[in-house]
Amino acid sequence: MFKWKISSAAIALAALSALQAHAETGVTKDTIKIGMFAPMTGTSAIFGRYTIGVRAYYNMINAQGGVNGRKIEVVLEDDACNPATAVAATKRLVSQESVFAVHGGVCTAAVMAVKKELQRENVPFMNLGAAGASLVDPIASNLFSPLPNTTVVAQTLVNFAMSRPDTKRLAIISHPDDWGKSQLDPAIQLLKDKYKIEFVENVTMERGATDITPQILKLRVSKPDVVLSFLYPTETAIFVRSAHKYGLDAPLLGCFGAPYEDTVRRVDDPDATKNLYIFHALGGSSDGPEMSKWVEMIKKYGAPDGTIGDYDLSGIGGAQVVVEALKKAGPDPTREKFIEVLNSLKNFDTGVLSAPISFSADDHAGVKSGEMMTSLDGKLASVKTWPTSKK
Amino acid sequence: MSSTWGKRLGLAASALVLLLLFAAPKLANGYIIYILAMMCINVVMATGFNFVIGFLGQLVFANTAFFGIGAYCYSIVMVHTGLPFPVAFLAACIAGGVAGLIVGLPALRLTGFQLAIVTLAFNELMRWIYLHSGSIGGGASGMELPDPQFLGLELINDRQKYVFILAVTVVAIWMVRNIARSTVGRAIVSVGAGELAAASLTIPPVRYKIAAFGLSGFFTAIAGALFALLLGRVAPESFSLGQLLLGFAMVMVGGMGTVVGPILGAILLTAAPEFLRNIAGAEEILYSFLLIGLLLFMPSGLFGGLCALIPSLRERHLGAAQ
Amino acid sequence: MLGQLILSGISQGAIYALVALGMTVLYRTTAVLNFGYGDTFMLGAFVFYVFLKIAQMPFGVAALLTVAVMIGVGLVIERLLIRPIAARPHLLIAMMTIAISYLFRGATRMIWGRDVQPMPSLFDFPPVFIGDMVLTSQSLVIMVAAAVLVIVFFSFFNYSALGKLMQAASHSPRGAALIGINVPLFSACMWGLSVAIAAVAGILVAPVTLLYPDMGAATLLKAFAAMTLGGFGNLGGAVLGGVVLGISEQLCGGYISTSFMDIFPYLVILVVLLVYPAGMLGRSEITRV
Repeated sequence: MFKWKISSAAIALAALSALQAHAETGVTKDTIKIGMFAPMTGTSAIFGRYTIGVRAYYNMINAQGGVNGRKIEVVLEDDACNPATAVAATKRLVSQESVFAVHGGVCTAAVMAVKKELQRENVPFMNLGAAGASLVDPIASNLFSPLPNTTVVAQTLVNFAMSRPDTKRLAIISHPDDWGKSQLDPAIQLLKDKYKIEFVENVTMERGATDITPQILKLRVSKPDVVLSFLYPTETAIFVRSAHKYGLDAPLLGCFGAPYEDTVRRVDDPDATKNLYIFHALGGSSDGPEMSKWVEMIKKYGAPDGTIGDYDLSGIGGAQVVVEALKKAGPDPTREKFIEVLNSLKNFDTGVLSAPISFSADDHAGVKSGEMMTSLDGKLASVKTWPTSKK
Repeated sequence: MSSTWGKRLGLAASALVLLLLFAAPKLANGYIIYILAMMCINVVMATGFNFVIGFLGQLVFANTAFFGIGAYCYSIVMVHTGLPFPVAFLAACIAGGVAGLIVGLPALRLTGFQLAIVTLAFNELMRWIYLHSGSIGGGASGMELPDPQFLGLELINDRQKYVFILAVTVVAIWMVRNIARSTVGRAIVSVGAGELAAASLTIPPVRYKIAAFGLSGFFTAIAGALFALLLGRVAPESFSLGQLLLGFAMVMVGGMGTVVGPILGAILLTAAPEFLRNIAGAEEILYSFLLIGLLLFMPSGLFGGLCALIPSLRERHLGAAQ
Repeated sequence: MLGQLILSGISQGAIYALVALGMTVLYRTTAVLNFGYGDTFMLGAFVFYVFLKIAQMPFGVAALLTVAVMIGVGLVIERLLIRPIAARPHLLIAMMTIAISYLFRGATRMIWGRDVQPMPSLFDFPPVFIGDMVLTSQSLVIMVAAAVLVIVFFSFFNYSALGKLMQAASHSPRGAALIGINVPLFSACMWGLSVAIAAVAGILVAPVTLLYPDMGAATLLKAFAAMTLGGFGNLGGAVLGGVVLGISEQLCGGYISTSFMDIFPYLVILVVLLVYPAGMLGRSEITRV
């Protein structure tokens, strides 16, 4: 009798779970759960601002009725830019919160730590802001990156520098860490393959260093036509200041990570920044006409943290792609369908990024170009090749 | 309550806890398993570290260096040689022990704070080496590790790894407990309490100081190898100053110089960040308050506080040192 | 390039010298090595930023207020956090200073959050050109101010009554107490002095670099290197070690490799402590029974 009771209970349970199993993980009748992780604390906390635009966008979609009748529910975890913490955060999102997909990661090291795990669990993963090319190379079936990666940035800078007339001598300063190297190496490669030259000087700067006199002096001695820099925001500002201080007046190029307006503000010396160009992935400057509707969106639907700038806006492209894929995945979204839709996305214009996003089954690097931000005649301008009005 | 009852209760409680821990893969989700595994790793690390700052009583900042050496040694052997997993693991432990002995040598000549500073510098130097380790250590981007096999069992997913990690942790704690009660352990503690006094009791301080360092390196490196195993990859970012201070805090919070103390500290300081994680910015401040509070009011750590309440818990081998 | 590197090295070294001096002062007189000193220096810079940029006060007033506030902070810390555990093992006191460093860092991070703060460059005199070398007004100010401070400090230490008191107490706190010196009050004064030096270093360096909560950590290690190089616990050694470290760091970066610059201070510490622990001006320690 005891056995009979157990077996009937077992059958009932099995039937119930069979019914339950129909619904995809993270999807309920009226919600879809998206997990996010980003550095909200610690030394890289400024990059946590990528989440601001994204959350505002999801809120806006919800306010407009959601996706196929479901509201997007966001669960945000802090990874403090630390690989072990990122793993814990992601596991919580996947195993405890049972999210449908993950939209997160700004530090490449953190994303790489969870890449294999997420692939094993086949959880769709949209990169939030990490720039390492190793995210999508080697390709993972579930990981998509909607932003220009470090290879793209490096190549854009090199091509831009060489578009300046009579340019033969390029010098470079970078961080010795993974992020710096993943830009330095493609830059050296492209310079050699396409332009058949090498950098005349190649110096490194430690993250957190405040004085780089030896680096500046070495760069100056090499008499470069243009200097490329692959540095984090603070260090970029220090570099620009120091270059000016010691009379290194070649044009300076900065990479993705230190927005132009922020750098100018940090350097606080118009004389030092008059020949500065910084990589720009957005379609315009954050206080210009192109971005104004997104700025308004963040003000209305989001929780801005001070003045709205590039960081807040940069993640929105990815959010749009997520929503688009959810829409197209239909009223019964599954993770497979979601990934399938993403793989077929071509030339998706986000209105935020300067280039459209395209994915395919064997290429998940969604954006392959960017522009350089500078100021021409006192106004911010985004340029693709060297402006003729400047030297 | 007589001490035999206390002992029996303690044993029963430990047995129950162990049973639950080994059953966890069946009961809990992947996230909990991962946190438990990290707890085990931190327990071993804190225990290893305790040899030097707890038993020997020296201020040494080398724990993360040993941790990293264990992790990288394991990784390099796994990636570059074809040698089987147990060999890689053993290599890591031995490397840690040797590193400990090497660090122990200058300890004989240097005063307290100088030793602290030199080990701090050693820590940062190791990190620079990881960063510039090029193709051997993966350099800045770190290395992806192959999934190991142990005794015919594959250690691929978290649950499998967790069981192995738990088993190693239990064995390590058991070893430490026995060492603490042995002549070596007592000698180390007496040297820590007063070198000259120890020497007057014919305990050669030099030998036991170095032993303490070697043991510290050995056990901390075990934790490092387990860490690399769990994450499946190794990268310089994991071995920063923050990690070092966390190790310190674990030993201090739990109770220096005891066997149980670091275990408590490690468990608490692995679990706490999981709850506190999403409170913006407050982490550092809460952490500092915790540390300040402990230092002012409960310098023998949580375990010390517990012992004050329940004297029968006290670890008898430490005698007056507690 | 050599001249420029040396000049820059002196300017950098001046900051290291000040920080090392401040730390040595505290160490010599109270036997406490303040692991939170780097973050004290950082806090000084931030407090100066508040007075200068946010409250828009003139430089002199802001500087004085900063020093005053920081001295206050130092006294409070000494009274509330250090004195209660003064009799305990050094390990615990060191941990307390680490906890303090976390407190400072967490507080600054919470208030100023994530971004970096630029300071306006003060003293906008055009840079001085000596031959091929350039000396910015900021570097000049740092060097002069540091030199003045060091001279003032040493005259005070060697010739004033309090200075002699400091010398006595640093040789033997017990002896000092026996002859009636109020040790707790003395300890408080030393904390105040030490923190004031950190505050001045923060004020000097703030306009040159950008302010962010983690700027103290690197400086702490450089200060350790300076102290080690000059002779641990030796006041003159701290200053000398700081300047020598600053210059050799720059030369290393300029002539050997910029990537070696990063670990130069650590190499200095390791080499000195393993080969000749007494450093340049120190004496070999005699362990007291």
